[in-house]
Amino acid sequence: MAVRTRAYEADAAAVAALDTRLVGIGTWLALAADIFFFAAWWFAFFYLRALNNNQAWKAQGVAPPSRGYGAVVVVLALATAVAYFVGSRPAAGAFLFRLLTPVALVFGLATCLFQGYELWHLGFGLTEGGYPSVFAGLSTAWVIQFGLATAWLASIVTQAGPAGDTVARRQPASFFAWILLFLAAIGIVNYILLYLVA
Amino acid sequence: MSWLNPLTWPIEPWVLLGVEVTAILYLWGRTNHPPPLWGRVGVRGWSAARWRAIAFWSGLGIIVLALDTPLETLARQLFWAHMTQHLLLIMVAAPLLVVASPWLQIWRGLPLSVRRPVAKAVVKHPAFAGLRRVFAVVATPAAAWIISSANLWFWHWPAAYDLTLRNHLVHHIEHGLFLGLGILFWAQVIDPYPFRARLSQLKRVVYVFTAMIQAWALAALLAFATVPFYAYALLTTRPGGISALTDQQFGAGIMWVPGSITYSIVFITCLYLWFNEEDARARTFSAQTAEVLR
Amino acid sequence: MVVPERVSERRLSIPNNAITGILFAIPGYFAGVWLGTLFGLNDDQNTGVILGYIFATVAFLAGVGFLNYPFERLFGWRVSPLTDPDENRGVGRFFRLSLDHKVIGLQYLVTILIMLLFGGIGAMMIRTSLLVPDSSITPSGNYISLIGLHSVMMIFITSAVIVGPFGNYLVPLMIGARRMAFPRLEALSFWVVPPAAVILAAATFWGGFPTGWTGYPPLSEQASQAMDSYIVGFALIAVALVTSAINMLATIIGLRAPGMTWTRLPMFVWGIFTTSILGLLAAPVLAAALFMLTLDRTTQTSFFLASNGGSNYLWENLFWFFGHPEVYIFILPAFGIIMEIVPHFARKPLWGYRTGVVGLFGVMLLSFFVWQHHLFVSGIAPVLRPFYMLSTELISIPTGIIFLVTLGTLWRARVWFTVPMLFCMGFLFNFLIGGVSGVYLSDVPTDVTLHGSYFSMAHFHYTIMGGEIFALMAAAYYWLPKMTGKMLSPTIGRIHFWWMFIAFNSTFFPLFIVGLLNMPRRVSSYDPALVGLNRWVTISAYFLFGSMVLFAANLIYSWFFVARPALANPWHARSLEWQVPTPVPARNFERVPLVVAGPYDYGIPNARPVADLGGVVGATGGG
Repeated sequence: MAVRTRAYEADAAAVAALDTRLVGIGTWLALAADIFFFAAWWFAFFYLRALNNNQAWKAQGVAPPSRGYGAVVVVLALATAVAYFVGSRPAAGAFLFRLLTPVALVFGLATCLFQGYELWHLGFGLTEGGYPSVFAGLSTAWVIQFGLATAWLASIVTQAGPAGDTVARRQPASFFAWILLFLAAIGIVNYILLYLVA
Repeated sequence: MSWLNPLTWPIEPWVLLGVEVTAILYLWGRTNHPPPLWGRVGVRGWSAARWRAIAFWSGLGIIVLALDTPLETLARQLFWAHMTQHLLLIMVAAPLLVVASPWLQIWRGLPLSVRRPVAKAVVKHPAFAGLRRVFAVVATPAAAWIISSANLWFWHWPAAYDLTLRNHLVHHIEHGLFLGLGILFWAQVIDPYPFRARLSQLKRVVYVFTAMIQAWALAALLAFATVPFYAYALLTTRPGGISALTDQQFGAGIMWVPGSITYSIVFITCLYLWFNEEDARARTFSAQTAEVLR
Repeated sequence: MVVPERVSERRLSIPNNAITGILFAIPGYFAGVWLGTLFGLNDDQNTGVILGYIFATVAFLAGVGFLNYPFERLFGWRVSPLTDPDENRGVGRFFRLSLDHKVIGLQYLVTILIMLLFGGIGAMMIRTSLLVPDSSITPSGNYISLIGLHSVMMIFITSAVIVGPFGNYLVPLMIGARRMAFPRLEALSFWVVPPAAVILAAATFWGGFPTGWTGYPPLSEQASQAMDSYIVGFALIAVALVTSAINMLATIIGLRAPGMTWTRLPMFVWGIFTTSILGLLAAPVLAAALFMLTLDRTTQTSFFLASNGGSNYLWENLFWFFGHPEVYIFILPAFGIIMEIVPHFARKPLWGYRTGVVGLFGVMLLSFFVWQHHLFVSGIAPVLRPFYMLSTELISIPTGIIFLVTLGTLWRARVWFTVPMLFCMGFLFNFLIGGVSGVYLSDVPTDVTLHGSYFSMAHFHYTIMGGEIFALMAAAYYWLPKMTGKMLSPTIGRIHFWWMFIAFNSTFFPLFIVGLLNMPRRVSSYDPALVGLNRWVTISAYFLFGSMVLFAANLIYSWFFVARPALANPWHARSLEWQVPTPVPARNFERVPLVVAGPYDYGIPNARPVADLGGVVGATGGG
C-alpha cells in the first residue's frame, strides 16, 4: 500500500479514488468466491461422469440438447459482456457508454430468456440420470447469477442520468464489466462441458 | 539391476551427456568467474556463492537420480514411480537450479571466442528478432504460468502419455520440457540472480497459490478416476502386484500432497520477504512522519 | 431504451426495522408455500417449504430495508447515502438496519448470545438423555433430532461468534478506519443470521432432521420437511460467510490508515484476514452442494442417488471440502485473539510477529487439502489415505508455531493476570489437548477405530469449545469495556473462569475415555458399564451450563446494576482501538490517524506512540 502522508486532508478526489479501489478489490474477491462455486459443479460433472453408477450417467435416449441453441445462449452472454466492456472503458466517451449499456442490457435479457426457455423445454426429464441433473443444476445456477447481473445492469442504465449514481461513480461502474466477462467465460466452460464433453 | 551397483543403472546417454556438459562448463566458468561477483552475504556464515553451488550440484544430482537410476526402470512399469520422476524434476531440481542461478557461470565456461559472436547475434542480429519477441512474451509471468500449466496438463493426456512410453525421443522431450518450463515457472517467483523476478513479493504469493490449485485439479482428476487412463493398464503385472487403478490413485496422491510441498515453501518464503518490504516501508514512513510532526 | 435525463429525488423508504421485517416475513412464507404448490411436484411439499423459507427471508430483509438501495437504483431514483448522521441515536438503532459497524457488532453480539443459550439448552437435553444407558428419557428418533438441532445451531454460532461481534466492531478501529468498505454487505451478513436461526428452530415443527450437521444423503433426501430447514439455514450462513469475508478483506486491504503497514497490523486483524479468505473460498462450495441437495429433494434429480447415476460420495466430498475449512474458520479468529491479548498483558512485544502471521497463513493454506480425513472410513480409495494423513499431521506444525509465538511472548514476562489473560491461559491448556487428540485422529489406523466414537466428539469440543469459546470469553472481558462502555466485574469474572475451566475439563475429558471404550456418537443408548462416567459427565455439563449462566449474570449485573463507566483505556494497551474515547464516536476517529509504530512495542526504550491522532482525548502511547 502506498503510504500517504496527507490523508488527513480529506478531499473529494481522494475519497473517489478510495471508493474505486474498494470496489475493484471487492469485485476480485467476489469473482474468486464465484469460481469456487462453479468449480464445485464442474467437480460434480466429472465425478458423476467417471463413476457412472448403475450406468445411469445418461439414461437410455438422453442426449445433450441442441448444440446450436446452447451456442446461441453463450454468444448472447458474450455479447452482453463485450458490449458493456467496450462501453464502460474510461477511454470510451459518454456517448458510447450511454449507447452500449442499454444494448448490453438487451443482450442480457435475451440470454436469460433463451436459457430459461431451454431449461423449460429440456428434451429429457430431470430424473433420467446424473447428466440431466448436472445439466439442469449448473445451467439454473448460471442463469440465476446472470439474471441478477442483468438486473444490476438495468440499474446502471436507469442511474445513467446526469446526476445519477452511475455518472458520479463511473470508474466503479467499469468494474462490473469484469463480472459480466467472468459470467460469460463460465458460460463458455459450461457449454464445453455440458454439450461437447457431455 | 540394483540400486547398489551403479554399473547396472539404466544410464540414458543424452541425459548423462547433458549433465556432464553442464557440470564441466560450470566448473570452467568458476575459474573464469571469481566468486566475489556473487555479492550478497549468505546464511549461517557461508557465502551466497557456496549455497548456490550446493543448490546447483544438488539439482544436477536430483536430475541424475530421477532419470539415470533404477527409478527409470520402475517408472516404465509403475505410474506412481513415473510421477515421482516428474515431481523430482519439476518440484525439486528446477527450483534448486533457479536458486543456484548458474547461468552466468555456465555461460562464462564457454570460451570468449564463442561467447562474443553468439551473444552479439542473439541480442542484435535481425534474424533472431522473431526469437527475441517470442522470448519477451514467454518470459512474462502470466505467459510462464499458462505455458508451464498447459505443458503439465498436455503430458497427462492419455494419448500423449502413452506416446512417451512408446517413443524414446518424445520421452526425452517430455522430461526436457518439464525441466525447462519448470525453471521458467520458478524463475518467476525465485529471483534468478543476477536478474530479479518481475513480480512483487505479494504477487508471487498469489502466483504460487493459483499454480498450486491447478496442480491439485489435475491430481484430483486422477485420484477420483474410476478407470486407469494410461497404457500401463495393458501390463498384466506390476511390481508389488497392485492393480493399475491403485497405481494411478497412488500416483495422484503423490502429485497432490508431496507435490505441494515446494509450492508451500515458496508461498511462505515470499510471505516472509513481503514482510521485509513492508517493514522497510514502515520505517521510511515513520521517519518521514517524525520529521513532519516535529 | 429511454435514458432518463434527471434522476428523481424520490426515495424508497420501507420502514427499516426488525418488526416490519417480521411483519413482511410472515406473508412471505405463505406466499412461498403457495408458489411451491403451483409447481405440482411430487415432493412432500419440500418445494413449498423451501420457497416459503426463502421468500420469508427475502421479505424479512425487505422489511428491514435492504431492498431500498437496489430498488432506488432500478427505479432511477437518487440512492440514499451511506452515512446517516442521525444513525447513532437511541436504543432503536440496534433494531434497525444500521450501516455503522459498531452497531452491527453489538447486534451480532446479542443475537449470537441468545442463539448460544438455545444451543446450550439443546446440549443439556442431550446430556440428560444420557443419564440412563437406554432410550427411556428420549426415544431414539427424538434424540437424533436433538443432536441435529444442537449441532447445527452451534455450527451457525461458532462460524460467526468472533468475526461477527468482535470482527465487525473492532477491525476498522484497529486499522484506523472510520467505516467498513461495504457497510450494506456487512449489515446483510448480520441480518441473514436471525432468519437462519429461526428457520433452524422451525425444524422442530417438522420433527427435526436425522442427519446431524453433516447432512449425508441418502438419509438427507428421505428426511422430512425438517431437512429443508437445514438446507435454507445453512445456505443463509454461507451467504453470511461470503459477504462478511468480502467486506473484511476489502476493508483490511483498502482502508488501513497511513502508516498502518501490514507488519504493524494487530494479530487479531490477521486472524480475521485469514479466516475471511477461508470463508470466501469454502462457503460457495457448500452453497453449490446445498443447491444440489435441494434439487434432489424437490425436482427428483439424482446428484446423490447412486441408483440413478449420482453418488453420495459427491456430497461427502463437496461437504467436507467446505467442512474442513469451516472448522478453521472457527479457530483462526481465536488464534488471533490469543496472540493479540497476550502481549498486552505480558507487557512484552509479541515474540515472532512474522512467524505468527506465517503460522496463520500456514493453517489457512493447509486446511484446504486435508478434508479427506473426514472420509477415511467412508470408502475413499485406501491408497489415498496416507497422503491425507500426512497433510493433516502437517497442519499441526503451523498450529504449533502459533503456540510457540504465544509462549515466547510469555517467556520471562511479568504477566498481569486479568480475567482475559486467565481465559487465554485456559485456551492454551484446552487447545493443546484438543489439538493433540486431533493428531491421534489424523492417523488412519487409529481413526478407523475411533471414527464415530466419543473420542472425536471430545476432540472437537476441546478445540471448538475449549478453544474458540474460551477465546470468546477472553475477547468479551477484554473488549466489552470499549464496546459497551461498562466494565465487567472482575471478581465474578474470576469465579466464572475457574468454574468454567474446571467444569469444562470435567465434562469433556472423560469423553476421551468413553470414546476409547467404544461408545458411539449420536446414539442414545450405550453399554451400561459406562453409566458411571456418563453420569459424571452430565453433572459436570450442568455445572458448565451454570458457568455460562454466571457469565450472562455478570453481563446483566455489570451493565444494568453496577453500570460503572469504563475508562477509555483500562488495560493501558497500545493498539489503536484503545486510543479512542469510550463511548466510541460515530466516525471513530476525529481525524484519520497517522500510525508510526506497532501495537506491541512494550518495554522498548524510546518507542514512539502508536499513532498521531491530532491531540484527541485518549491518545495515550501505552508502554
